[in-house]
Amino acid sequence: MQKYLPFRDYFAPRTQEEALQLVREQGPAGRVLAGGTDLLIAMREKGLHAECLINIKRIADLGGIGSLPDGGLRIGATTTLYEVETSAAVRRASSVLSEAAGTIGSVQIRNLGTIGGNVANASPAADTTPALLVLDAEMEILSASGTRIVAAERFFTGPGKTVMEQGEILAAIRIPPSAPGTRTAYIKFGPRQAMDIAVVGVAVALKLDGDGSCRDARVALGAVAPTPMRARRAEVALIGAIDERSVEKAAEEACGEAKPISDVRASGSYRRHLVGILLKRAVKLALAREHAAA
Amino acid sequence: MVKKREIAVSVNGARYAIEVRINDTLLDVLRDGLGLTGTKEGCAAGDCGACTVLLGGKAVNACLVLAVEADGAGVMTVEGLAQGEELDPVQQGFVQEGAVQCGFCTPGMLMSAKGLLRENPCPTETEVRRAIAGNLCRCTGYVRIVRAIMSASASAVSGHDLRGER
Repeated sequence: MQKYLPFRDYFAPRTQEEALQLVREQGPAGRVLAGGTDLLIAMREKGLHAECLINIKRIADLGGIGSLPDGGLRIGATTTLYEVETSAAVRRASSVLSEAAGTIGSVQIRNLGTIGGNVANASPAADTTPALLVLDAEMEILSASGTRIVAAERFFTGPGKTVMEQGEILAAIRIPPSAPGTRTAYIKFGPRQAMDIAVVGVAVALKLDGDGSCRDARVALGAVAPTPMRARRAEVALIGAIDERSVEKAAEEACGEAKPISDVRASGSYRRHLVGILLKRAVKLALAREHAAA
Repeated sequence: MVKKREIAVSVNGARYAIEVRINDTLLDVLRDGLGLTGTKEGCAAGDCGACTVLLGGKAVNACLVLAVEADGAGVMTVEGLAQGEELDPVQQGFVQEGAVQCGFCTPGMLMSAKGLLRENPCPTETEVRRAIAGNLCRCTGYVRIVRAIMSASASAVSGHDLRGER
């Protein structure tokens, strides 16, 4: 018999207004349920206390994948990781996000877990978040006073911590249209090929000119700092002609920028070593890909 | 006092209106409430896949779904695979290939396979392996399980052809 889930009340609001009212009324005792693959386990095994669960999966406005007026993509917070992985629209516009989502857990987990849950949970080792950083994604946060938009890079403030305040709900993730010639890749390293948490995750986005030189670069690292982080010195090193030397330099810079800890999964020094290796692999993989987005 | 709610669910095609505790999982209700003990509880943490069922046609871990979340949804468990005496192609595949050892992972494996074949009737071996990545078999009979699912996909196609010919 599994351990009893210790919460006392459950709500499944149908509208954003109802959900906002519930999170206001419940205050810190209430937790938003947007999939449950982390939340229920945290309650069952890690002593996370919540008096009340507010399931936001039934709110139509918080789900689905749509386009924005600027040609970007709006992914509703309750879109499952499996949908993010397999959606033709996401694959076309931001394949690195599909790629990252596809590395999470198992099919069963991806059918339950949501992109909003993965982001709001703010695990330093989350797989979608480095991808969101290289895509310059923005978080759409809802409260009684309206919607505010926060850049992905400023959204995370620590392990399990974000800029979201009491009474707010993550409504969607916005992904701006990517420039023509953009190539991306996400590589996750873990001892197993599935059902594992990243020891290190590296996402890259390279904007290439017609002659193949790199006009702009984004490098983001997961599981090597309290939050997912951009490696800006590595990005600078990648600009211009991309050759063995520039990639080597970028790898060195990224190793220096990472701030890994040692834990049960890996030592800090091993993680730092991996950052360099994975960055080189990710750049190589991205360059080998055709740019799909128009 | 644990709060209760009435939920409406369709399980293996049969409709139920049942009262559940708000903190029951779907797994609790299937096994203890409806007596459908084919779905197993292994780790109760989403790691082993023994509790895999189809919820709205998608493979999920029943230990990570609250019963109240399933309100209004359709659930398929391993008991819903066979039609009377006729085994589902995935079950037939497991029998033919001898893909069962102790049997504890089998219901979850079957449901993951079913979930895959619903969306992708002719998967590659890589796709099959990816589909059961969340199902642990501690007898380590994976080779035969993969073979069984591959044969089920082929037999689904040939079975269809046969019916067409008749």
